[in-house]
Amino acid sequence: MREAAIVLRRELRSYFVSPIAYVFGVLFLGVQLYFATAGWEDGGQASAAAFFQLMSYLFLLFLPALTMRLWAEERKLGTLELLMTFPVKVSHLIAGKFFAAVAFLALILLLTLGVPITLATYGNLDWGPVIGAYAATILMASAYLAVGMFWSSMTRDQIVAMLLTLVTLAALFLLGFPLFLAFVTEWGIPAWFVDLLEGISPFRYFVSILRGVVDTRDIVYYLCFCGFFLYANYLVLQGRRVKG
Amino acid sequence: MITPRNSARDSRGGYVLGVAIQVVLVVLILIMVVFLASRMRMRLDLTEEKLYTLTDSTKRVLGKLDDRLLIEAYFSPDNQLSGQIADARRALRNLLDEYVQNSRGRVIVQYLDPHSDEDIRQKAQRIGIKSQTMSDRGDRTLSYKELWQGVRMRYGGKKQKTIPYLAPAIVPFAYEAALTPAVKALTVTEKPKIGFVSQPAPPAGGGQPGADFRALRELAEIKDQYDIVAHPLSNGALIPDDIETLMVVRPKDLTDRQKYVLDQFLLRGGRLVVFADVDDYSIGQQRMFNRRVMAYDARESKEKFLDQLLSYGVDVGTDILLDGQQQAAEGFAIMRRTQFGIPAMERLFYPYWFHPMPVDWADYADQLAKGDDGNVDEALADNYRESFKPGVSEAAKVIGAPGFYWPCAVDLAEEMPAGVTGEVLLRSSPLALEQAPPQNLNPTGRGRTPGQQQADYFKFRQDLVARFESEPRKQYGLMVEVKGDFTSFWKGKKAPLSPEAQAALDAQKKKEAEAEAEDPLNKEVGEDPVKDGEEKPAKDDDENKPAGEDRFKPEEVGPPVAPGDEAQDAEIPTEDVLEKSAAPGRLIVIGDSDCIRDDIVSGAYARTGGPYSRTGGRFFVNMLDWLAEDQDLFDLRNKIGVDRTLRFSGGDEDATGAQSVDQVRSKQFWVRALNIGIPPFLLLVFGLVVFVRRRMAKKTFIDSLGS
Repeated sequence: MREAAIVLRRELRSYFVSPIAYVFGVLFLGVQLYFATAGWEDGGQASAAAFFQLMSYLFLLFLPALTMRLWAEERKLGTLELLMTFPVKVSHLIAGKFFAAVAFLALILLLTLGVPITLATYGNLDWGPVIGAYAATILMASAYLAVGMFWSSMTRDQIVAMLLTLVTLAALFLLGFPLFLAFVTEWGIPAWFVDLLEGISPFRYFVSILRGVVDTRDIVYYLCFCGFFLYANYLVLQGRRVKG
Repeated sequence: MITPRNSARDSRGGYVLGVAIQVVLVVLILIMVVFLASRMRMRLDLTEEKLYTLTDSTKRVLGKLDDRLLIEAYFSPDNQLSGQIADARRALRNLLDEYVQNSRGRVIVQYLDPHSDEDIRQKAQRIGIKSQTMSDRGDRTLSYKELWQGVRMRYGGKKQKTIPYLAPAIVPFAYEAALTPAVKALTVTEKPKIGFVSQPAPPAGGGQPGADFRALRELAEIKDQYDIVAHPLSNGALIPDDIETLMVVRPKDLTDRQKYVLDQFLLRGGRLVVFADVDDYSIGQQRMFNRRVMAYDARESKEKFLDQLLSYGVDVGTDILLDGQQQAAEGFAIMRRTQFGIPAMERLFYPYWFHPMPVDWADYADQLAKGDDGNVDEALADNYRESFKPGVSEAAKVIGAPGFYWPCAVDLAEEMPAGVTGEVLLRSSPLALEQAPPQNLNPTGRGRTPGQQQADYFKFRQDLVARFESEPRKQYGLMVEVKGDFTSFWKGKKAPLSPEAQAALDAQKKKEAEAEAEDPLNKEVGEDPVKDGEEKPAKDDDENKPAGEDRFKPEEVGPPVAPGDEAQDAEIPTEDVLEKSAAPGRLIVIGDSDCIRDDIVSGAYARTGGPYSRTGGRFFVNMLDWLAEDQDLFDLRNKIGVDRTLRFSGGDEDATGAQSVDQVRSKQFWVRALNIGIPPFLLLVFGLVVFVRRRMAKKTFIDSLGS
């Protein structure tokens, strides 16, 4: 695990010494906060649900841009081969990069704390669902990052990695989107299959936690989802290491 | 023979196969893990009101089921639902599952689909289940679907109750609030009888009748559990024994006999609830609040109702209360145009409408003892800490606090009668004061134009500021409970007779008078001459007595005669008279009746800016349960109505707490701008620091190489 921690530190530092963190952070925070605060008016509701809902949509667009470089850049610059020669297990490399990205996102999320604090100042905010929503956001972002890392490991082209991630996430998002499911239902697809499709989407579990109910089923789902894509990532990189 | 080339291919193929098998196995394991997790799940409800957890009320009600409860759920099939309605259905099914799990096998849910079977459909219609038409937007079409979502509950094969339609709700608590009282209603064996006496509110003018107090009595939740009977206090009859609780709402023009009836009810061990009011204010057109003088006592009555209440230990004020605490204010707004000409509701501070706040005001002693220089007067703060009490007492927490509209103070008497204890249940903030009821309490006066209204409100506000700054403010009681062994208010007084006794007595007197008139000995033969300066002997002292008094009765000597004894002498109907409590009674006095008034509870003025008593209904129902000592549904009701409204209009208001629309908008703008601007700015500053440090480190390194 020491190796993973070293990779994590190195990766996290790399975010902040490059313009990526700042471009990503400023753009994401600017758009997120602009739209999320648009509904604030006297007599409105002191609820952060819309704020977190919007965040799930924006992650769909922003996170592929963050993850596209994780492996693709290493491959393009030829540093992946060098990395593979280090006495570090592939799993540690993946864990280090993954948790560094999660930590970076958590730091960005910290900067949004002003929103619930403001709502609590001007209204009677229920902090329980807010805490749950932050946890749900981290879990969902982790799932998105895992998908992004997987596609980044599959190609040396960052744009391709980003597009593949975007398409995958959009498809998963649609599966959990009520209007899309209603549309699918009209095709005559059996209800159990529609339920199955909906069950795959991280969006559904996100909404569940967003209400303020932390369910072990939702957490297990996210852990399994991340685990699956990180494992797939491992298989790809391990394959390359074996291949030499 | 295997060639090296083929061997490499096979080796690669074997690796791919191995990977594929691994992936399939991992997927299967993960599916199994997710499946098991959904079977053995644990939930943590983080919401403050525990919106997604079954309330203790429901658990209690289900725990008390001693027979089988069959819930027939007439639901449209789930696969025909889409979007939020599908989510709402899922929440409802989960909730019904929880009912089953918490009922020790007493609850059985049977799902029936009215779409699939015409017989089921007809049966549903026959028992009162109603479908609703829901719009359903397709890709290019707009269609309408029939949604069935009603239930019939059958308890032990004897009782049944139908909920025609459960409106889709994402939060399961909305369903629970409908289902649990219905289950509870099925388990009620005997409904407690509650007497209800009310006087309608003053008419608003224009020939319109005044609002009554019927709406809450008609609530299904109340009718299911209580038998509320309107009692004609006006007939002067004693309250029947089967009524244990009597509510007197807006007592007005009470005769001595009516007061006596209330007295005897209390002494019998009854629970008497009085919603008192000082002078009323009618809510007329243009939101004119005009004073309507109201008298507790009938013109001919000799005893005062407020003295009667005082004799039981409750002191009711004769002025109206204002509360200067901004957060305690009940919503009041008027329509006004902004400087851009856009019409908008503007919230105004109107201290005549307020609610008790569920805080311990002693905790705010330091804050309230701050002088103009910002320093805390320690002696004053200590004094405040000792004298300030919570806005809502522990005992009243189960009832809750309604909004009060032009209320009067209700406190415990300075000297409590022997054998009686009391408690103030609800209080104003310490920033309240009393005011003699003025003729008009409309903050915008009679001004028709916005300019006039503005000027009127400015003056109204100035008067309020002057009043709050110059008059002593204190914490007033708003609801009081006294209980124990009461002494009759009529002890030592001549108690009024019942209408029957009075009629019999009158008839007897008439008979006696006629007999007397026929007696030749009584015939006048001429008056004795009276000398100058000599007092003319009174022919009959009763001539000097006020109307209604017994003018024919011999002069009383010694202690007053109880009406029963008197009636007995006169052979008229008798009543058992109590001078001391036969059983401990309870008296609850609330300093307002508008909080449960039909038009204010139903939100008739909500769109025009108030008054709107959102919590009056809950307060009323909770009080009934509290009086009946039935706590089953308290938790369920107390989950409702946490106010999470955003208020940008607090903080920098003037002494009356008022702010203009433009001020509020400006504040909103800056709050939003700071929220949008600060986080990216902080990130950029951090980036700049990192950049500068790296640059300096690089320069130091290059310099070190040079040296």
